[in-house]
Amino acid sequence: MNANKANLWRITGAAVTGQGHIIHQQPCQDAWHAHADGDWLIAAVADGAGSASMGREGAAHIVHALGSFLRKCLATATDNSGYDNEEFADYWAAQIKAAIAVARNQLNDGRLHKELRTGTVKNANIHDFHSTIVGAVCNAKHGLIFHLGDGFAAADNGNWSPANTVSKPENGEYANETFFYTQTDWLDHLRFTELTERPESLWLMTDGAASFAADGHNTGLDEKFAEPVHRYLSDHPDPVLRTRALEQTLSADATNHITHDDKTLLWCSPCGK
Amino acid sequence: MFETPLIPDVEFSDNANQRTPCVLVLDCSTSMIGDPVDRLNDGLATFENHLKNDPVAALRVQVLTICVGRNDNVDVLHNWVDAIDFKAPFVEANGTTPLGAGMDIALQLVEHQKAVYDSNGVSSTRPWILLISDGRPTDDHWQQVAAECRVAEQNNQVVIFPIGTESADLKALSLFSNRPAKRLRGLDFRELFVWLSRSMSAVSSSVPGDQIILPDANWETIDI
Repeated sequence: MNANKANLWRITGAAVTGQGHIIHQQPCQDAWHAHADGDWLIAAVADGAGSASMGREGAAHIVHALGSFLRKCLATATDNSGYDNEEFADYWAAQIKAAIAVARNQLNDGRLHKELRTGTVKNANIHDFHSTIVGAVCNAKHGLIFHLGDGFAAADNGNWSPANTVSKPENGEYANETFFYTQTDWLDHLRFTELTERPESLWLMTDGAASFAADGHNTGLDEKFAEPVHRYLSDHPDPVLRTRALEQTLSADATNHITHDDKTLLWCSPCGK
Repeated sequence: MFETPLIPDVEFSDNANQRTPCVLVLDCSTSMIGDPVDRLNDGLATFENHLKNDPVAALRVQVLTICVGRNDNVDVLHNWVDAIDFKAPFVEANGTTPLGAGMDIALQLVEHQKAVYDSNGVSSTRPWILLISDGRPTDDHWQQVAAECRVAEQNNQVVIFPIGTESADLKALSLFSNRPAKRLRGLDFRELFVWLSRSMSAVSSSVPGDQIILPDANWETIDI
């Protein structure tokens, strides 16, 4: 694997605290992480459960654990297995399962709790770190979305709704129930969706952002939101300006009439696409 | 310091496609004539106003009102309606108190509405049923229905709040839920419905994994 090639992806992400947490003076429980290396993209967002005492830490832990594990897969691979052929999805699905299993084992290790502990939880167990995951691994020819719980992912080529490929949220019987990587049956709820073509834009988001960025039936993106966001992020070369603009947009007062939840959106677009 | 503007031309639409159903089962028996039913109507109007003033609740909460009274009658006063379109019904008191039959209909309508949501790809929160009475059930099979209510609640199909005025038989009303019935202080229906609208606001904007802290119940007395 050629490490540290020029980054061919443009990436902008933002996680903003929802009104519900601002009112209660609580921090944002979402997290995101993205890494690009040449044609390769590894990206994930996570939404820590508000009811879990360390949901915020659980979200941060999983996105970084996934990023770290999958980057090692890229760096240490000695052949092309699963890289540029039809084995891509199987290969990366196995790596993603392994990455989550490793992350879960770390949470079951008391030493890690000490590092993550905020001072309020003395005897945390893995269920105190409940969090969802939405992520993707892509290269120039292939892509695989992985998803556990709610949130939303879309790969699009300017159609918006329906998008070329989506990964829908999985809720329980009711809207305010979902699934987490920290549950015992996490493998039953981990879903994979292959990208059928290289997208012009890939959107990963937690459910707070999905309440206005996704269309009503989760078949694609809301064009009135996504088109101007995509245009702006594509046109502005300064990554700091892009990030701040996305943060401001996700924090707009208008969003508080739709959701009080934290809002995280990660937008990735291949350069030159 | 230079402030980054919002991304231009962005429009926000509420695409969450989520509903929070709420059923009111109201005792409109003869004993409610006079001040009690007047205050109940005032409370219903308060409920309408408060729901409509909350932008999230107005679009997500759906209300259905059932009135029991007359000659063991159960009247569904209106079908499911979004809170933004909810017009508080004006109820009149007269007759018996078939609360069992009223709750039976409420359970059926809640189950049917859940199926409607599911078939249309609409997500929903757990339905609430608020049972309000100043007495006790007078129909024959109410205890059987009460047992079905408790089972439905245990199965997480519904949340039931039995509420009685000072003259109500709280022991009987408590059988409709797995939580004890609450006693309404005086006839403070307005405070009760303010609490209900605030609770509906909290539930309708709840997110997966959250535990909801309901507002304080200022309308409640504590039995000692």
